[in-house]
Amino acid sequence: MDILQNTSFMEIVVIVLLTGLTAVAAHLGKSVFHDGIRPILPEFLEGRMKRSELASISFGLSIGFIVSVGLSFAISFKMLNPWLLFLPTDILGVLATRWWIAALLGGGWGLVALFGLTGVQAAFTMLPIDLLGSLGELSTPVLVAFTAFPIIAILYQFGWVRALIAGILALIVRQLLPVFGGVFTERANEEVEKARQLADITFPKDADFAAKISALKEAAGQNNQIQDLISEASNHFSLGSTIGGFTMQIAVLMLMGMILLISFAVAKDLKNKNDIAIDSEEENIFAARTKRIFKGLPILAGIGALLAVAANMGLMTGSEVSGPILQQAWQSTGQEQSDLLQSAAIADIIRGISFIPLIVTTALATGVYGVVGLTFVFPIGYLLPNPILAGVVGALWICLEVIALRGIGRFLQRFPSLRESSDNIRSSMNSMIELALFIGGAFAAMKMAPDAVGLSLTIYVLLYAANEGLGRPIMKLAAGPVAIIITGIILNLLYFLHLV
Amino acid sequence: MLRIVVGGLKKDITERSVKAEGGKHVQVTVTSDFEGAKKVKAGDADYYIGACNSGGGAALSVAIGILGYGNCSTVAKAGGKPKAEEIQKLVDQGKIAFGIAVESIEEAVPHIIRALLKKHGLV
Repeated sequence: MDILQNTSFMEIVVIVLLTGLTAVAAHLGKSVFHDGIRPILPEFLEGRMKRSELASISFGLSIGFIVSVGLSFAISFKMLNPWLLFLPTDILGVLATRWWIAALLGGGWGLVALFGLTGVQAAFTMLPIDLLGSLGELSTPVLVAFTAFPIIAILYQFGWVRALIAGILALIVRQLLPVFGGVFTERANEEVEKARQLADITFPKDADFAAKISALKEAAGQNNQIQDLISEASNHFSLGSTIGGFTMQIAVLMLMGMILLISFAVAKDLKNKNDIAIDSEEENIFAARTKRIFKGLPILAGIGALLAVAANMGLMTGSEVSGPILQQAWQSTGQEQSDLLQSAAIADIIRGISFIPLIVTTALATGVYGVVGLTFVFPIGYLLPNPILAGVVGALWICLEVIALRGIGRFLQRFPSLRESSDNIRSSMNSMIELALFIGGAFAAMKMAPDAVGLSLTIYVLLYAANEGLGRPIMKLAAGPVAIIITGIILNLLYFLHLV
Repeated sequence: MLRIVVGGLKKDITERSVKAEGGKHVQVTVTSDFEGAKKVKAGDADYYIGACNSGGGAALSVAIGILGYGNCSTVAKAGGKPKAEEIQKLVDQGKIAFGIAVESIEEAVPHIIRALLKKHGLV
């Protein structure tokens, strides 16, 4: 069995434990993934709503997400994602009448998702027209779209003048980064030249940096001076290419835009300081609800640990923004992989920041936490060197988050514009990812059938347009990926019929 | 005059749709879900309209926490078309906070505003 060989025992254990635990957490009302179910849970916990009613509401709110976003993203990015795993465990946990039933159902869903995904992949790789390989094309426009998130959020909240200023600043920084990186690359070249003179060799005309270094290493022998120059040159060269590289540019631009957005919001609130009132009734509700979250800490920390482990093992993506980059990251190696993982981490950290006000406020108002917390356990998983360390730090991090909840809540009361910024960041992220995945789908269509580009693009665009015309039965966010997967299937069918 | 607060995602579209349908009968304030819901609770605004991806998540979660589940309702879910009769029914039941899926804002908001104007005898 191909599927079984591709999935290690550890992977199965991690996913099954994770989904089992999240279902139990939903059953006990400790945490749910869907932001809309969190505020309704107290209605059930405090006896104003029946279990079946809550289960049907959560099913209704979630099913669209599970099918369109969860499923299509899992296939497109070849990784499990929170929507596919945790929206169903919300429903199963709520539906179950005992905690152990919730655990069994949840764990069962983990198995279905894991083997379903590997099974679909195995089936797709057997197709004559490469569907899965082409899906990698989805990621390029997504990476570029990142840089626009904060700037568009500034446009929504503070108007076009400040957005234009932010945009121009971003462009200047973008152009400066390669120049700055070039300084180090130049230094590296000078050192290589010096070493070459010392070693008294000549390079072939078209030798690249790596070739020069290996030629020097050969010639260096026991000469310490040359060896020092070689190692300095290599360090400077990798520093230069990291700074000037594509992923670094994106990361720096995103961070810069975020800093500008947050500064604008904080400045606005500091100016209107006297108009902002803090409600004491709210404080009392928040205090009682926070205690409830504290009681759930063991199970929340357990989930946090498993999430970080799953992210570290490359089993899971934290979000729609990091998914495409992670897919590239796990396929590459060495320096490139760690660069891409860093970009994915930064993307998820920024997405996480934009979700803080929503998750913190609903948690404080309801006493029910988010299954993935403030989503920062994912970047922890991507960045740490091994699963064990990721698990330990993930668990500790969730504890820190819960301890910090009240403080963050108070901070947000003082800066209401930050809440608005968070909505705007999420709005712009949404629009840009929709756009990027649509364009990425077109790239994938072209790669899928290089000899019949017109045909594949036509099928893709028609499918996308059909979804629009039918009143979007598939959410716009998932429309691109769903359309390209169907396009791939149709192309394969046509191939079997000898029509392509 | 109906005082309406707008929160959640794509506030600009919601605001435009409310103004387009309500004209001089509505006064729109764009704010965050938290500030907006507090305004409605304090009596500084009459109705809350918010949007998110599913229509029931971020659109309403804070509003439900502040205004109570019974006062809030999702009027347009992701992957379905909003229905005028259902929205009218919800308005007549006395709901004061409405959640919409971002994709349906332009379709759902006119229904909500029309139903509200009718309820308050402004048409």
